[in-house]
Amino acid sequence: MDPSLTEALARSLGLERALAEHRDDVLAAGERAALIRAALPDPRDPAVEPVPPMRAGPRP
Amino acid sequence: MTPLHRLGAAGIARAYREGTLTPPRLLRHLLDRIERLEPRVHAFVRLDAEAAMEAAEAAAAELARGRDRGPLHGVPVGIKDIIDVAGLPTTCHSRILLDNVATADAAVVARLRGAGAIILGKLATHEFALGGPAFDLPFPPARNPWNTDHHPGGSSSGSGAGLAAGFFPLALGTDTGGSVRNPASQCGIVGLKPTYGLVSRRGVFPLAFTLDHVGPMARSAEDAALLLDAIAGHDARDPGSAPAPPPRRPGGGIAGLRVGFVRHFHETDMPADPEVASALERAAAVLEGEGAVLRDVTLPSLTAFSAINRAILHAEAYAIHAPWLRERPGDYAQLTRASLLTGAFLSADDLLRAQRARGEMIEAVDCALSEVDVLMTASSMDPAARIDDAPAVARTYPRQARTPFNVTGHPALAMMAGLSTGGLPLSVQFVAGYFEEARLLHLAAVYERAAGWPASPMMEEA
Repeated sequence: MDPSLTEALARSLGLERALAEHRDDVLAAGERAALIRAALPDPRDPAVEPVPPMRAGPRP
Repeated sequence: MTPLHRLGAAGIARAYREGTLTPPRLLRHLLDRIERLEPRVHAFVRLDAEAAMEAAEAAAAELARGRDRGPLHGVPVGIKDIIDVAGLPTTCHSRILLDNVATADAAVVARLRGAGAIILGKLATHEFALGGPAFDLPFPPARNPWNTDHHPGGSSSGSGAGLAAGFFPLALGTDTGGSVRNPASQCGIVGLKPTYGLVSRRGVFPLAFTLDHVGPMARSAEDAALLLDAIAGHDARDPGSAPAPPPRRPGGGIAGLRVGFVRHFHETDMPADPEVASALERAAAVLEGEGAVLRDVTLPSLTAFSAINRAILHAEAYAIHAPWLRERPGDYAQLTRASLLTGAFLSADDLLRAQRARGEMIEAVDCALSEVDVLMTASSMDPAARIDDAPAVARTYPRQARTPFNVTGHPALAMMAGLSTGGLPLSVQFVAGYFEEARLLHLAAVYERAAGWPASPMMEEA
């Protein structure tokens, strides 16, 4: 992930202190998220729902 | 005569009822052992010796009066320090919660007290069950009793280390991405991640709601079964609690048991250390020698499972820690902080892709288990690295096949499968269908009797 984008996202999330005091950790986290994103499989069926599905009624 | 610290819970229960041992005598032996060996192991964050001795004396009095609460009556248990014990700090091994004193027992601890177990104290963990092993924390990291220059696995590190050192016969851990089964694998003990929802998570500091499990850890499958019996059960106050059926108890051998060997996990997806691969083949041969029928099965790749686990774990963990990460990021260890920040940069699309792909992963494992009775996989791909070798720890730590079953929620058990040439445990993992813990524990008991792996060298120390 572009470091400037990571920094902008961090500021938008209120992580200014983490950015100021632990910039390397913030940037590494952005990279790690990008790697996870790239490895996520796409569902084969566009209609597949997330697990667990929403259910109405009393909990067991 | 068996040294008292080598007795498991089942042996302790027998000795109590035969009149050859009392809870206070056992506890004095264990406390003496802890005093001598703990400086080398660092299994404990907080040893509650005084309260444990009071509980031991109360247990002895009850047993003498004929009030028998069951097999865990008077048996000491260690508790991972993200699980609440009333009156003791739940620090999560972190500066963030150093002064956080639990006002009530976690549901699992309350069940243990009801069963007459003795709560011995709080055990070392990776910070918030995520960041470790680390040296920039308020307490030292636990070390591996097989070789204290090496890490014991985590995040239930103190649980695994204390069991392998003979400090207690039973321990509770938690498992979100393998954290019961990792120390079980690296410390040569038995660790079970139950079916999601079988054991209450109430009173356990969360890492990721969707993936968190509380699990029993012990030096034998029999003992793990006893501990699971005590802690399992529906809890209406845990939103994830399942209305599970009571566990079944299969008996006899494993002749005819169909075992699906997921070789591709450790042969192609994430090639294991050759010693691990050899140990798995030997484990397969042992099972076949006991009459099991093995065949290869294929599941989705470890890469896919891992990405799904990581996306969900990091998104949920960040949501829990965001206020502290904004206000006091420096109070985390560097490893924990860097890991927790990952979730900040995952999007809603990332999380939904993971939750949608989960369904396909669950279906794939269920489909495999419709054709075999249990799955057999690698657990750790390498023996434990030196604890002071940060690059080796970083390289080997993610190399495992445990996270698929946090993603799917199936019960999974890790145990010893051999010793490396360096004298460190090698491991195997077994997986069964939902709520088939009894099948897993039975298989583990048969395998452990047939394989006959030794205890850690530290257990030989008087």
